[in-house]
Amino acid sequence: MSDTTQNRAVWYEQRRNELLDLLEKANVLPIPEKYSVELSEAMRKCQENSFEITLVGEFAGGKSTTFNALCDGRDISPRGLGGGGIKTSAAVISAQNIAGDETKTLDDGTVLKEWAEVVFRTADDIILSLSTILRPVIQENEDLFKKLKAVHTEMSEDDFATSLCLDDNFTSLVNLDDERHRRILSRATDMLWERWMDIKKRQQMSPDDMDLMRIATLQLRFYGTPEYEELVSSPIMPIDQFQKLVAFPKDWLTRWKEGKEAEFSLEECAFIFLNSILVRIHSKNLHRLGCRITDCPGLFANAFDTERATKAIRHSDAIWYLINGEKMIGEKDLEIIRWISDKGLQGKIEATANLRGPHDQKIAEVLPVTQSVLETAGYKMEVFPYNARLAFLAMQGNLLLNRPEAFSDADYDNMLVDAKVKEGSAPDPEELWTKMVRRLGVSTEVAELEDCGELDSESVQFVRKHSYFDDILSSLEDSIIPKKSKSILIDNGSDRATKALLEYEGTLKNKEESALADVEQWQNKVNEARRQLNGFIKKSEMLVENSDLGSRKITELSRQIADNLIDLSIDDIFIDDLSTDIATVLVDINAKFYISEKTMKQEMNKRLAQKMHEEYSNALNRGISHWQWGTSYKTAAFLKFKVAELCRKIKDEWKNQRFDGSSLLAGFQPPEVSENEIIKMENSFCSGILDDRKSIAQLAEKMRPGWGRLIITIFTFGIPFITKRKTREERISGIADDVKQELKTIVLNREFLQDQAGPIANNLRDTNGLLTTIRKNLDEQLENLRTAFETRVDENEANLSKSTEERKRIAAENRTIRTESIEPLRKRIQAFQDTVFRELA
Amino acid sequence: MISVAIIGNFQIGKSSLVNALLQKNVSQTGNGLATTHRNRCHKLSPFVSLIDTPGLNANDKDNSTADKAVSSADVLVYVHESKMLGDETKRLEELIHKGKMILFLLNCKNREQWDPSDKQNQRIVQEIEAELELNGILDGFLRLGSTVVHPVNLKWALYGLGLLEQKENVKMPRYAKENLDIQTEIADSPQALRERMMQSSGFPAIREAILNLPYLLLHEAALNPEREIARFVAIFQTSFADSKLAG
Repeated sequence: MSDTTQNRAVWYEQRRNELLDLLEKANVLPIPEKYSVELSEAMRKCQENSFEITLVGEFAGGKSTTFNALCDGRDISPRGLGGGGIKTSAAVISAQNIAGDETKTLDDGTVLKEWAEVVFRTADDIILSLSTILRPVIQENEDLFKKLKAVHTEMSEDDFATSLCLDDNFTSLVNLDDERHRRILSRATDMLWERWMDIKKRQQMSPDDMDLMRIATLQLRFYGTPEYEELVSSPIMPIDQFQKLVAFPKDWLTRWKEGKEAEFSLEECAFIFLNSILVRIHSKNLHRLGCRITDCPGLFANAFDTERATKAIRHSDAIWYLINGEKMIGEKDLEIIRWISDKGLQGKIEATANLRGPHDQKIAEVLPVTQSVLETAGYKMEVFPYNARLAFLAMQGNLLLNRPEAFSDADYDNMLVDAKVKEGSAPDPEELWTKMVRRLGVSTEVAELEDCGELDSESVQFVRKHSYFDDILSSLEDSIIPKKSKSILIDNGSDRATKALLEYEGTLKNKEESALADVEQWQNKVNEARRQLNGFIKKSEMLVENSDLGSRKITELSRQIADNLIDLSIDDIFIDDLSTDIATVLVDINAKFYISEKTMKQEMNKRLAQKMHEEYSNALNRGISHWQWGTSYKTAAFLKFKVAELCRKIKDEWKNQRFDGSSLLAGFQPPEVSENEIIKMENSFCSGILDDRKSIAQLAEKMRPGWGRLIITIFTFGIPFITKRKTREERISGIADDVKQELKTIVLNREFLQDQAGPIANNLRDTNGLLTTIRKNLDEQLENLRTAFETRVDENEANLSKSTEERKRIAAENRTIRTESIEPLRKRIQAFQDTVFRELA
Repeated sequence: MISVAIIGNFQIGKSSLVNALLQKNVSQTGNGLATTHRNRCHKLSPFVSLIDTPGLNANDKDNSTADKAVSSADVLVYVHESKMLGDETKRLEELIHKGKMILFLLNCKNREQWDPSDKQNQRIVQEIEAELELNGILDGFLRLGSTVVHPVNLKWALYGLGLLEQKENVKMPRYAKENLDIQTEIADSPQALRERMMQSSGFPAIREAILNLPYLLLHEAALNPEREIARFVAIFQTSFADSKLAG
């Protein structure tokens, strides 16, 4: 461990303890609740000390090995034993060090020194994942459609059909705890399997869909069973128990070859019900980093894993990115990095190249190329060499050497598998260590490792050195500590406490002075302060209105976003899908006999409207997803900057008022948007504003300008072609081609698009949570300032009417509290803050 | 004459395979950097020609160069490393739908599981075969014996043929001692070790198969005429679509 880094970590811990000490002192002072809430909140943040690093990389890229190395070499996250290449873990696992001797007591009285906290998927969560694959089946199948409709007697058929168009509505249509619903879903799954049994249809199913189909099958098989209830009843468990739950079933695919009857026990495939897991263990490495570390499934290996990895990445404070160091960076890694950068998270990446094969050659020849490819692609990041296997081996060495309590026989057996020791022969730790080091020495071509020899702390240290583990940890610390210091020691800690105390001091000082002042003098002072305050509020309101939070700007922005969304939604995919739908409807209608042309047209109108509605909703949803993962981040980052600028202006305005320490405004703080609030805005801006997909469905319903023309075109274009072709598929694709051409001229027309964007823009403007919350927050703060001021005036005025003696006593009392307890403490906290600032710089 | 295109991600061992098949260093092999950027034809026998292609997944230009080789080849040798397919399943599906017959090789590059007969490699073989079957494309792969996924170690094969660089040649006995249970006398005799590594590499059977591809294809066609016709139709359709695009 390099000295500077260790010093930094120690420094941070020292400072954090110092702050905790100060805050503890503040918390025992008799302070009115208004201020003490702030103090205890600051203290809570400081105690939690939370910060999260997520390990990201391609499938089988060394993430779990690294995770376990960080857990001091214990096999916490299931990894490829004796090699890799097969998926081993299927859950998002986090680990956090246990500070001190915290324990957990289970219901039966067992005391756990280390434990895992499991968050299971909620029923809604499960339904959402089922929806992707089962909803379309129900939609297409008349029988299932009717059955599910029969459960919802309260809805009209049209309403029901409309809600069934969207994944997000599925949760309100399906209740997993109802036996009838489960039967319908099971039947839908069976139908997918029937499709799968036909080899031709099987080829048309995407690998992702099949993956989801398998998972859906198991979810429906086990949900609600007694074993399931037992599983979810105990979310806290010992370490060895949780490992069984997260391990990915052995020979997963091989066992599915037989079809839907494949046998799995719930214990084997519990991962389908897991959301995330937090493992609390004693670990030196985690203690050193002082944060939570998260191992998430490989990105882009399949849809199920990608979805969960995405969530984990978004919540993390830093990302440890593992590039395959065996060869130069490829398109896949670049794609993931681009994907992370698009979310504005590039600054969080700490990139390492996980070396496999000869170290010297990879570092000298491959790494520079990777570095330059990244640079050419526009990413400024330094890639550090690293060897996950060696890092893990060094930690294993420590375990062999020190045999801590947590090191079990099972761990030892795993090491034997790693070293490829023949079954039946169990070497002693010395021999095992030499064998493991030699093997890796040979493959890394680090000659010193090959004859590194005996198991002692020196050789362990040697392996550790060649893994570059400490270099990475130091570099991570270097980037973590300043961020953590800023957020925990300053923004949420000392700064927050100082502000609360300052305001209280102001109140005390006013009380003291008012108690001693004569009435007329006092009134003048009040008037002066009120005038200043009003001036300030007026000015601030103007600043807000003229900023990006002003109503004109919000309207403009809503329009911009709506245009953007429409551009992203109404695209070739939309046209393709819609024209196929239309063609299908036309062919199907034509194939049936209708009593009159009128009924036929009615039927056709109904079905076309439904299809259009559906495709439009799909397209909008697609557009929203694109937007959320793309432009929204950039816009949010820009707005964040603007909001910060606005706050700065308001603060300057406050400073311009220049009131002295005895003013009635002393100690008050100008309105400000907290970092938390901004982060919330950023998150909600990117995900929340249109999260309510139900409103999209309703919105889609309203979007009819221009649709009428479409339907007419379809009638004139569609029908003449119908009889000319032979098979159903041919007819559909033929008509679809014709319709597509026509649709393009109508749909990709500027005027038409603008018509579509209008209602979305209005909807956004009226309901959006992006800036209105912040705006409201600022308005409220201004209002609160006024109220706080008036309260202060009232409190003080009450004192004016009291006897001279009494007033003297009040003045003295307030003075004592202020000068003897509050002010000194506040000064100490401020001094602390100054020190931290200085030391950070 | 049958033309065989060798495809796969960059730095996966395609050029090594070409060199091993021709028993001569004709293609430059890399050590972590993409080396091949053009399609190159080599005559393996009077009946079989090889096309060495640029690796996929390195850059767009290389990808499209390799695509051209794919369209002109009769049979593809797909080289993959020893891990699950992930999203490469989609790529394989596309190739099968173009009507290409594929020989699937698993080049065991990961030194943790360097031996093709390693248990972990066997599990990967089994899982990949299951995945191909679950996706309904197993039939499009060339079957040798009972399997369609064939683990090999091309580096070992090159060593067996004496085609490795001098520097690496020297290291190989050391690797062998650590990775294979080889008696010291074999490890210490260069000739004996070469033979042994060649055997363990799994390569001889693959070479046999590629040399005999014309017969194998006939055999396959005779066994399963229906599939052969379907494949032919697919090829016809793709080439028709290609010519339409070109026109």
